Amino acid sequence: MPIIVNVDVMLAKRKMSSGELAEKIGITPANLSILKNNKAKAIRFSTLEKLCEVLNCKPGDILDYEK
Amino acid sequence: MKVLGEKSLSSKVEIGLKILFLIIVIIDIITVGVTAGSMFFQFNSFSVRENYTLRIVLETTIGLVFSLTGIVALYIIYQFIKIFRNLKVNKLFEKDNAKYLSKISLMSIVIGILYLICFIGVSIFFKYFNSMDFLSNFLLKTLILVFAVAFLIFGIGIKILNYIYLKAIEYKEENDFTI
Repeated sequence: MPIIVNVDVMLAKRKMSSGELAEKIGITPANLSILKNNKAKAIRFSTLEKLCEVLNCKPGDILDYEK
Repeated sequence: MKVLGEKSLSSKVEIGLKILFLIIVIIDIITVGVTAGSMFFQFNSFSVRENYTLRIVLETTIGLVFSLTGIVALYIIYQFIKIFRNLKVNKLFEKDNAKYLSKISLMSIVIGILYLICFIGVSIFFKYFNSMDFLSNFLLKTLILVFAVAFLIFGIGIKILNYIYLKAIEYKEENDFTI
């Protein structure tokens, strides 16, 4: 899929662990791992909203498009 | 009543299918035995007469085709047993189940074709060696044809259900991977 999820980049920038992020946005570490490894088929607006809120960024910082 | 899981309807169906499997094995062994026995008897006790070879060929073909449909039916039942075994352990939308359904569909079509061959064989047989009255002849041929058509329709129907099942697996995967 050409949509790339850059959660790990944002986590490194914010110096936050995956476990901490998962807990703050209310998803399981397994689901966060699916998201980080680009295995996810879709992302809910509610999850994206929480990610932006916790990582203090915009959707464009998390999602990227590569041909 | 519980439909899925241990001690449920699906586990009972699985037991039923296992019994059916055994019954078909016994019937198939008898059919093969009778066909082989009849062949042996005819080869040894009949003198050469008109259309004798054709009669033997037709009788053997019909007998073998019937035995073969039994073997294919066993394979279908075995695939159903595997599906119900998966349902017993709550493995619903698994790609394995779709694979089994696909095999069932293909084998049903094979049985349909075998019955069509049998129908042709029986028709030729009755044309040359009409030992039955018209009604019995007509009923037997109709019955074989109905079986052939039923299995062909069943095979195609299962193929469609298999496609729907694959779509369901796809949707489930999409749902599982929506975060």
